[in-house]
Amino acid sequence: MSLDQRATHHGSRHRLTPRWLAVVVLLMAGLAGCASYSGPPESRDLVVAASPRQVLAEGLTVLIERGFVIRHADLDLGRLDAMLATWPGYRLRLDALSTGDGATRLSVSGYRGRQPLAPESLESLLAELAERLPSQQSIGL
Amino acid sequence: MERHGVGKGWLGVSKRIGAVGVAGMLLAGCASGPPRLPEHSEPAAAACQWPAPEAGSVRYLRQVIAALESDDFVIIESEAQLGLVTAQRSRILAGYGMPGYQPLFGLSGFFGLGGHRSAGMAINLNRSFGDDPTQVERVSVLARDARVSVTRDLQIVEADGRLRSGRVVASDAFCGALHEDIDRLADLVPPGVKPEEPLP
Repeated sequence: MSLDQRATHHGSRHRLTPRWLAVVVLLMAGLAGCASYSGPPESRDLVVAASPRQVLAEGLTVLIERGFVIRHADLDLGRLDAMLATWPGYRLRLDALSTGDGATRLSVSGYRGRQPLAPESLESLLAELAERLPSQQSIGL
Repeated sequence: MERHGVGKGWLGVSKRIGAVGVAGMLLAGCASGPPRLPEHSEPAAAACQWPAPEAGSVRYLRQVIAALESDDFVIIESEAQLGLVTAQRSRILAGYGMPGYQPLFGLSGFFGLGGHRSAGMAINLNRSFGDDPTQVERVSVLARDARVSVTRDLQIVEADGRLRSGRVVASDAFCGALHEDIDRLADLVPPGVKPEEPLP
């Protein structure tokens, strides 16, 4: 009797296994795609009629208003590195390079934890920055 | 007989739907695409922004640095032409390395030891030596255009370098104290030093 019971138990367990195996394999395949999401972050660009100095100064103001701590700022190199400690940690990089004719090309990119940020989500930051600077035209995607 | 078969079929279908549903729920977080920047967080404390006619001069920036350094901060970045100073201070949180303080799926580390209590305690004591996390506090001060603004954050980093927690804590108390320190240091500047030109 007990042997019999064990046998049926075994049998049912064997019948279940392939289904769960399929589920687990599907899950792992799906999650593997997420985990390997990497590469350099896409940046959002903007050309403004202001000097890199003005752009960086306004960039600092906007970022500090949003609670960012400035990890690195160099006017000669034309770049800012800012971090937000809200979990899991955000990092933004702001480049302001002179295009030669009095205009500045501003580009922003960032990470959330180790994953690159969606460039669309940088839109509001750029809009806020553009408001504080003279006439501008948006380029790139 | 036939009814039994139909019931079995339905059972299989519902099971399959259940499995697909579970898989779907688990993957929903991934399907939401690349991560986004949080929208405007809560506005900074009022005390963390104040007008200062001198802000923007190198002299004022020196006062800011002196005030931060007198508060045990180490300057890690500055760009005088933009009126920016970033400083950091860290301290070890003694005793917080004990497993009891580390949330492990919501349970304390002392749970489930049962009969092996003494062995568990030995491991815990071991871990509390030298494995304490470090609290890192960073402050950015921007002083330009006759205006000073301050941000501050706190991060807790495990002994092995993992980030345990981080938050933005620009509190009224901290900014108020920093403001007072900077103003007090203004009076201490020797009279022979002539005020410098504000930055263009």
